[in-house]
Amino acid sequence: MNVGKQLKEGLLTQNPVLIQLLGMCSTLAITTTISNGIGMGVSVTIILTLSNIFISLLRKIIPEQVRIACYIVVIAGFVTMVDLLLQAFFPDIAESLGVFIPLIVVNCIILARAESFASKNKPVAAAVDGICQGIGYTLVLLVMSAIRELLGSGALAGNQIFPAEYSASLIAQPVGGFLTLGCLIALMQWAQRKVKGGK
Amino acid sequence: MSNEKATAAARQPKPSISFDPQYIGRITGVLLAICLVVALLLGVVNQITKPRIDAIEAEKVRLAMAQVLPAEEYVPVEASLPKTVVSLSQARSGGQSIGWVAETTATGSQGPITMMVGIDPSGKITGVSIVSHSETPNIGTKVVADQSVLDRFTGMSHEDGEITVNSGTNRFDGVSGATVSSRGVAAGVNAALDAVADLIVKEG
Repeated sequence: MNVGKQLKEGLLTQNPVLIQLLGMCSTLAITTTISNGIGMGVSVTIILTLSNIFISLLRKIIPEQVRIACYIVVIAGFVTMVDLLLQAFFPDIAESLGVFIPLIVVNCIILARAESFASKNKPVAAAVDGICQGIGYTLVLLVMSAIRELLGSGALAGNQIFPAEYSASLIAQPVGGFLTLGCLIALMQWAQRKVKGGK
Repeated sequence: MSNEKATAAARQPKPSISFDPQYIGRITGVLLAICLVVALLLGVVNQITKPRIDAIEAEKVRLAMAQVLPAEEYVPVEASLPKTVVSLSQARSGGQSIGWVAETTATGSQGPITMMVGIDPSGKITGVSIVSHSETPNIGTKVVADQSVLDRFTGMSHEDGEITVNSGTNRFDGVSGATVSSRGVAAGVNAALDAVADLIVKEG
């Protein structure tokens, strides 16, 4: 087990959004403001870490043939718990994220990490993997929501930087999500090639 | 890594489905046990969070009522209500009725919009406030999250007919680009006005 390598994979070489292209739906939909991006990123990180730990603990008990059903039950359980806790203690975040919290159940990142990592590794490694992949996801959300909030509504984390009348509201709309994500993925590809070419 | 190879190898040579009762019993048992544990945990979390969530909801409804028609108390009206009207209360101050507040729901562009509508005894709207919605940020929210748009309803009534968006005799100026959301809010306001009109007729 190698924490540094796992962190590098989560952030860069195996970034869940920019390289594995997982969890696109939530990435496109909720990155309109920074607070949404952070709320979603932290929620996914917590759920991913918890489900990774539990699935890793149960990896020898869960029968091969019903493993996906077992993973989904565990993931849905944690998502519902986080949803209820958010509604009770952070009602503002719960309201602005709305239906995208329950939809974390079908976020491919969590199922993909359960299937490809947690079911084959020890709980500690699985927990580290969950945290690293979660940070990678959160960072991408943060960058995307910062770009979209600034260009789309002229604000940054709720503070008006320039008047909203001069903003390109297109960027805050779904179209802008696709454009921003496309640019980020292209940038990542370019950076990766550049690093490889340098060696 | 050896562990990974072992499971990968175990996955390959099992193409046929086994009907061995013991095997079926085992996979069912494991799945059932996991479901039971998860359900138990969920029950515990629900026990802790439910009172808080209910309190937050009730507070939201109370704030919305106070915003559209300030009164000392709100007495729920006992009447059979149409499906679009969630609740209807009489607003009272000093024992006197000063109007009604109706919580109605209507379909917006992304889902239901729930709103609170205050109506004075003469049937005029005193205010509209959105309780919950799921409209698109920066499009639908130009209607449902902008109080200056919602305040355009204030003073309107059904005297000049049903409220219609951007047309007709009883005209509500919607937000261009957010027509569906504008129509949704107008539909909810119409439902509230109808419910109160029915009530006034019944009470004579």
